[in-house]
Amino acid sequence: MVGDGDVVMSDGADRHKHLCKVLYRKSPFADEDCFQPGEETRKYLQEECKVLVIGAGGLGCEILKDLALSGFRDIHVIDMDTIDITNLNRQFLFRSRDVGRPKADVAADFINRRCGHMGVNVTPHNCKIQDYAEDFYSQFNVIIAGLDNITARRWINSLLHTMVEFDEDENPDGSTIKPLLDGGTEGLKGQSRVIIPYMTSCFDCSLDSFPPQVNYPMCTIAETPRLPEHCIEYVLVVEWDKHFPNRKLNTDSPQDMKWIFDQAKERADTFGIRGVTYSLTMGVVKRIIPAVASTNALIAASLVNEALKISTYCGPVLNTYMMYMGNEGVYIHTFEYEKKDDCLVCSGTIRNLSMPAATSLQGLIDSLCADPSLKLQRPSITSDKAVVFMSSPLLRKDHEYKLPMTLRQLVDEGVLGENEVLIVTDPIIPSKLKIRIALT
Amino acid sequence: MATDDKYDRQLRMWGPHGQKALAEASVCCVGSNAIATETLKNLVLPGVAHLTIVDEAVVESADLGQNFFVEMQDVGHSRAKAALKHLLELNPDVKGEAVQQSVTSLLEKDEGFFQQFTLIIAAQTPQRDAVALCELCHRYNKAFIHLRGVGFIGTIRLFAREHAVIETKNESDFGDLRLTEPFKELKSYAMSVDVSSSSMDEVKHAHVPYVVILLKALEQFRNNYNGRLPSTAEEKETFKQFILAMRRSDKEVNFDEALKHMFKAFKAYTIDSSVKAILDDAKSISGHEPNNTAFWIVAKAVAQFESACGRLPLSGTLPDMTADTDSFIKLQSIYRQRAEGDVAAVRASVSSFLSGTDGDSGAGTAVMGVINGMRDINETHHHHPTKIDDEYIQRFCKHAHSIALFRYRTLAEETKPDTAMKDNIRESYDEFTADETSSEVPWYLALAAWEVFREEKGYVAGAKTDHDHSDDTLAGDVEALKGCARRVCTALDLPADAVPDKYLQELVRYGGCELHTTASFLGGVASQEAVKLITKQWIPLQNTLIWNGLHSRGAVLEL
Repeated sequence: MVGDGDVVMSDGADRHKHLCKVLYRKSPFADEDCFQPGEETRKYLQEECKVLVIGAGGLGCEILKDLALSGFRDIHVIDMDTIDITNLNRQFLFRSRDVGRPKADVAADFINRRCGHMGVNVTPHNCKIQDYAEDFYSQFNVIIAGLDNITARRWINSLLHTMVEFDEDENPDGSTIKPLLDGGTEGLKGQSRVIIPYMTSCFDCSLDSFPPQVNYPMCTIAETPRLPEHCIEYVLVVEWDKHFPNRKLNTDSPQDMKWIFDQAKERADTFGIRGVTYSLTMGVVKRIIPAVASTNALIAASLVNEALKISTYCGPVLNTYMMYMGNEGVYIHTFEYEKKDDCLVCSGTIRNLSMPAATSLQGLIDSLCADPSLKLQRPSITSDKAVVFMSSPLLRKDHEYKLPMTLRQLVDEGVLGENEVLIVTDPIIPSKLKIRIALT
Repeated sequence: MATDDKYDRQLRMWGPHGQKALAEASVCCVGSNAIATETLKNLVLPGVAHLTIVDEAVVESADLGQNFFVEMQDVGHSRAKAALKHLLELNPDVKGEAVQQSVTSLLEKDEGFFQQFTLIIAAQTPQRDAVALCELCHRYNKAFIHLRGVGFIGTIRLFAREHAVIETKNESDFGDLRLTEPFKELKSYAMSVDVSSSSMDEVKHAHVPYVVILLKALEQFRNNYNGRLPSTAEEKETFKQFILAMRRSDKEVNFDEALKHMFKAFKAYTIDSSVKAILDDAKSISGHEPNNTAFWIVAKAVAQFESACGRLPLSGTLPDMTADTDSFIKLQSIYRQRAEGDVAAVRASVSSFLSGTDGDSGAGTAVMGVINGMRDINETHHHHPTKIDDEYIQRFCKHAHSIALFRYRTLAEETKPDTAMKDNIRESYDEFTADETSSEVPWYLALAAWEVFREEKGYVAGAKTDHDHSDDTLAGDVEALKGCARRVCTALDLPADAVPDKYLQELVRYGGCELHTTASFLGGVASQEAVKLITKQWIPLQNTLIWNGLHSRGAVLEL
């Protein structure tokens, strides 16, 4: 039975009997200069350390549980999504009665109910990460990301880099460096990595290692469809807009999805293509990535394991990347992902581009978007002298007239100087990219 | 929501037949600690049928800090019952039961108890009981997973007497296009496509499937080289020129694809030696594991097919390639129809085995023997005892070229010095001495010593006290553990000091503590492996994973 001692011991040392062994005892593997075994370290973890979890999905639910059971108490979680029935096979903090409710709220409630007695308090934020600025993110000591898309990862990675302050000798101020622990899973594979801004490689250093999204060529889906996917894609990109010019497809609506499926089936039948099913239609339209509980659990555990070590120095920290592959036996590959010399986010260098003088401004913008190591979406460009181009909807029309002009013309008009360092910004990331264009 | 199926995301991985296997699986877990509950969570969520938790432990307040599936009000009550209650809340499809007994007493009094399960998981079970459980699993032919975690370190060990996999899902699959020995329909179709005809328009020419291009080039080559396949660099170049001669412009993507896949026309048709071994085995069908009866019966039919035809049933799938719709669909249906024909032949053999009318009375009797064995199994799995699911036969034929069979060593074999895998351990130890980061074998050895320590001293190294963390207090255990390590290493023919002191000091530091992140990591890996064992899809771990959470490294060792 619960003894009185159990309840009044507010520091929870008895409940953290297991954890305290690694926090109170010396280790031959821990960094001697940093790790101070004992009470202070436990107090830091429980009373000072503040963690942000980005995403309350498959990884997020696991991360929250792992943090609560690893001595962390002040935990925030941010997610804009609501619960869908297909989450229930892995997002174990949710039940069927929760479908439709915000993930962050339900996840926080659950953890607070079960672990509140240990002083754990999860604060939910039902919004996009981009809705908050530096002042929000600077309150945390560690940020753990369990995201399913590259855009959000790039944004938070970049923001955490812009938050680092440097002294006059260009040395970063340690208190402004916020480690980012980033995980991802797909099927039986997953990875976790540690990003310490400016110290290790960052997310953008590895940007060109992500394969481009599979997009079927238009000519294939329109003229020579062969696979059921081709038929579904055609209905999605061509026929939907033709039939419903003023309505966006709602991928959560059974009616809309049924319409896509029926049309795709009909198209497939015309061509003698087999295999269009409702399930495949959903998979193609929503770009569904298969997901199971087990993989999310092990990647989340690895992330929080690193969070514990990075926060207390009770063990060495992953340097910098761990890949887990369970699809053929088990294979775990741990390695240091190298910094990229000209990384847009963390190298601080100026990127030199050489372009024919006859390239149009539109051409320059297109090449910035197409570059696999930049992958920009709506770049704005400013020179020392003037605004070269603004992409925001409100300002864009004032600059559109320059799009067909060649770079030579822009130099002649004094919009930009030859070999001048230009600043490129893009809503996709908070970082500023410096480029210098040599005209050829 | 566009679907009401909560299993949608996993069905995309293991299909309805994989889901069915899970929904019929009964899992027993020895232990209700964090490693146990973290493993079971990931099996309840995807929907196993039934869960049995065996543990005599009572919830203590220390459990609250690292086991998510116990609550404050459970303190003082059965941990197996508390864990079961909280786990079953995750998925109403799953049923379960808690047995408040120690595994030691179950093994003594009622070992038949374990016969009812598909898979048995032992979480933090001390070595002596784990070895006994594994022996039992060997006798009853059950899959077994042993999990152990202390501090940042853990191990996962799999056992199955015989585990047969049809869907290995090898991503580097060579494909089964039969370019070097095209069947009649395929060859006559390829030859009917006149690539050199001027009447073929540009668009059509740029959409001739590369399979057709390669078949035509190979036919031309063989006509010039006595029917041989290109083998020397020179011959391969000649082959390439035959392809280029058909090409009209370098903008033809289908010809790029032909050049890219050219190597497939150089490799004579072969059956992988491991597949061949399975088929040879299948010819003497009696004596195989009853839980793999369907596998062995179909394998025998496929072996018969292979003896008669010199090849395996055609897989029947055509990868996407540049082609116009009609050519692709035509080619696809040629492969599919041939594959259907092959399945029909295999199906006929299977039926004759099942009805005992295959003419080979010896084999017939053997098969009937197997079917009798199968009845026991099938009664618990609700199959008709004399019929094999036709989809199973189809899947077998489709994947016949990549089937796999695994026979695991028992824990007893692993831990007895005369049967231990000394060579594997030695090899890994040599890697370690060359580069400390390239092997995790010291952790395996240190844990073996740690087990000896517990067995001899009756407590876990470093766990004598929960409150005194000073070096002086722990030093005695470190010294004793060093002694155990020397004996372990010597017995394995390794240098007595093979395990550096720091590994042993670190284990004593842990004092038997169970960190939640280690538990959750091990639970993630174990449940992934459990799903592989239950669904018989993917290649399972062979046979031990050593997890080093200090450095986030993992290494596989066959022990």
